[in-house]
Amino acid sequence: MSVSLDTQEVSKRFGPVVALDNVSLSVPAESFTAIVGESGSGKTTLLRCFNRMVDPDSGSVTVGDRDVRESDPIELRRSIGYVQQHGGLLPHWTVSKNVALILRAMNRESSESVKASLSLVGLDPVKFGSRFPRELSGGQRQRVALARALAAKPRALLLDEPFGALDAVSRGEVQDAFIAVQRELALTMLLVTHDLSEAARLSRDIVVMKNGKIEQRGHVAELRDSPATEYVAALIGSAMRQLEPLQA
Amino acid sequence: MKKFFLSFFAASALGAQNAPARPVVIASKPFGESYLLAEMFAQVLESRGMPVTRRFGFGATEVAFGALRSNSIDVYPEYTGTGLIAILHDSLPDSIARDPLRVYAHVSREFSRRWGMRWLPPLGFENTYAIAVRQETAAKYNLKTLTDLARAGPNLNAGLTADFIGRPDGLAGLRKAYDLTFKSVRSLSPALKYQALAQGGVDVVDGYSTDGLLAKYDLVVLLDDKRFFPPYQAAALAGDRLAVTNPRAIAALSLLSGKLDERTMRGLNQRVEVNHEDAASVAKSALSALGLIDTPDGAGSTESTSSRAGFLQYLLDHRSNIIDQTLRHLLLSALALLAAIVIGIPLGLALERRRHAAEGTLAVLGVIETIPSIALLAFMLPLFGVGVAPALTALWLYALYPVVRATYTGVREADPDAVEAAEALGTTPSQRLLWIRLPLATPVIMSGVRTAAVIIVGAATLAAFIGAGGLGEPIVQGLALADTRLVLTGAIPAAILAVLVDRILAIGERILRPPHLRTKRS
Repeated sequence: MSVSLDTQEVSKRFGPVVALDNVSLSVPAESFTAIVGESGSGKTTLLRCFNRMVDPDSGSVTVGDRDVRESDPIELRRSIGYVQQHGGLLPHWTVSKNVALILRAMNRESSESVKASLSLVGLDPVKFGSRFPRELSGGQRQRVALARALAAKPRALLLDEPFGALDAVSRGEVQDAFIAVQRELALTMLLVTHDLSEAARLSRDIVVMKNGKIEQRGHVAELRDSPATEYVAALIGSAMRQLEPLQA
Repeated sequence: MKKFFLSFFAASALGAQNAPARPVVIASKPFGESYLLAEMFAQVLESRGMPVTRRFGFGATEVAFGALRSNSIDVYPEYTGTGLIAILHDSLPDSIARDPLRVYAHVSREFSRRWGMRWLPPLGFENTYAIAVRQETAAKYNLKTLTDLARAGPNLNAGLTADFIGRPDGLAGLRKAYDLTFKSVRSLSPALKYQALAQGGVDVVDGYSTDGLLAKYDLVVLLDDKRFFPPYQAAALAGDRLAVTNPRAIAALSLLSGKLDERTMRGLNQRVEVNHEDAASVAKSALSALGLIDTPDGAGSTESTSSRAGFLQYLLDHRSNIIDQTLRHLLLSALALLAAIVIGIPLGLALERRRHAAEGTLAVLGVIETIPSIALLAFMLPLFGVGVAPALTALWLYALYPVVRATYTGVREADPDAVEAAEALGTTPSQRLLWIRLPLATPVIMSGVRTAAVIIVGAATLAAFIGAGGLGEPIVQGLALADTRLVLTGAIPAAILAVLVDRILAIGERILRPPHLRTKRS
């Protein structure tokens, strides 16, 4: 069962640096929301508040109806999947063992769940199960990372630039796999990316962040037609220009 | 083998109060005459049915004396002048300090009063320091006395033993007494100094007046015209336990008193140092000549002929010793390495979790690593006495740094992406440690263990200086007696051992390597 993700007036500083400045964000259950921003915008910090990899200085964070501070961080993390840019697979474990990581951690290891998760992301468990990560392509590794995040049947999924390190062709394929999973499981997914066109392709709900604040939120068409700030306008402009040939 | 292990652990229990039949532990300092005298002590006792343990080649006066004081050894040959100046640190009026009888009386009284030790009556010869130069140096600068040397000193390079450089009755006192300076002062091993002098590497060395090598190299001994060096009468110095509990041994050792004059001693030293006869057989023939032991005629001459035989034959003749020493060396090294692993890996892991304490701790361990082995071993003496315990502790300390550093670095730097992802997915810290960080750190930890092993096997040769035995024993003894073959019987097995240990650990490293790093079998 999917849950909603909410923050209320959350702030976080790292020393002198303000990472989050009074941010309130509400991600409905079963939705796919993308946060776009450059590095230092606070997008990853915001994402990590939901699984308590970061504890905010002030404000509240809720997953479902529950304030995360009431949850044990380890229990909370087991209920929320996480995929990062470089996959973070254990290099010395096979694909099957990697996928079973959290099930093992919870003493609930089951080869059925592992196979089901691998099939869900479009990898043949028989063919790939006994391989080591270094024997996979970058795209396959990210699929395994997704399968691992899904194996313990999470109620939401946090994605931190999961396509950032992939080449253009496999990026499209892996994005499709993620979208297929999201539709099939109706899972709440929150994606962080620096790439507006990627966000526009994957999600109808885009949140633009800069300097620890939300600049604007909406469909890509809204951002294009009525940018709330100069930054949003510049971001849209830059994304549009990438599609135009340099010599008209 | 069983006997070997028993003796190994019995050695570590040295110093504990034992049954009356316990052997008399006889020690020597690391030079030929000391070996020879100690060997004579040993044979005199053995011939009278008293069991003896030989612990020859203790690093320096402080080490041998420290061992005697803690009753780790029972008796060793010492010189009255050394006792007066290097141990008692007494400065007496010249009228007493220059008189052999009064010096003997003084050290006897003081050693007995302070430590219950007993100076047996002197053996009959003096072995004072002899400052020696080459003939042509003496001619060039017209050197006859130390006063002459003070004049020429700034042009000359000195090669002195570490013992002499450090002792108040050595270089320091000499400098003051004669206003002496050298162009340079280098520390040389007793066995090498004459060779260095003869070859012109240095111009001045310190020796002993009874050294056999003085004659061999045709050196000029300079006269101590200000009588700076006190009388150095050789005598057996017995610890309080032996003095109190074993009057038979004391009586037997006293039989040697007054029996060895300077000419006899120089002749015996020459046989050991110049002719490379075995110290045990030289001692034996000397004792039977003195009528102190019964031996069939001709004993002692066998070794001198075999010393001309091939090195392989020599190794074969000494194989049981070499095997014993190798096993002992291996056991010492293995125990020290095991202790370093058992303590070092958890310590490295603990430091990784308290990184603010890590650099400080590692810096301290790193400083230990820079202490010269012989100094570290010497530091262990007051804490653990002599024998196996201090050697093990010192080796363990040496091995600790590479193991701790490798564990700390290996675990800290193990695939940060994998560790972070596993944390964000809800693994516990101990799961991350056992499943990810430790397995991924294994190759780095194993390389630290290999480094530690090679360091230990090498450093263990120095354990002989504090009586722990091992392959250092023939090395130390061979150096002291300028006997290259003896040195090689220790050095070659030690080198082979170091290579073997490294190869064996390399195999272990391959077995423990994480699966993704293993080369695939096709």
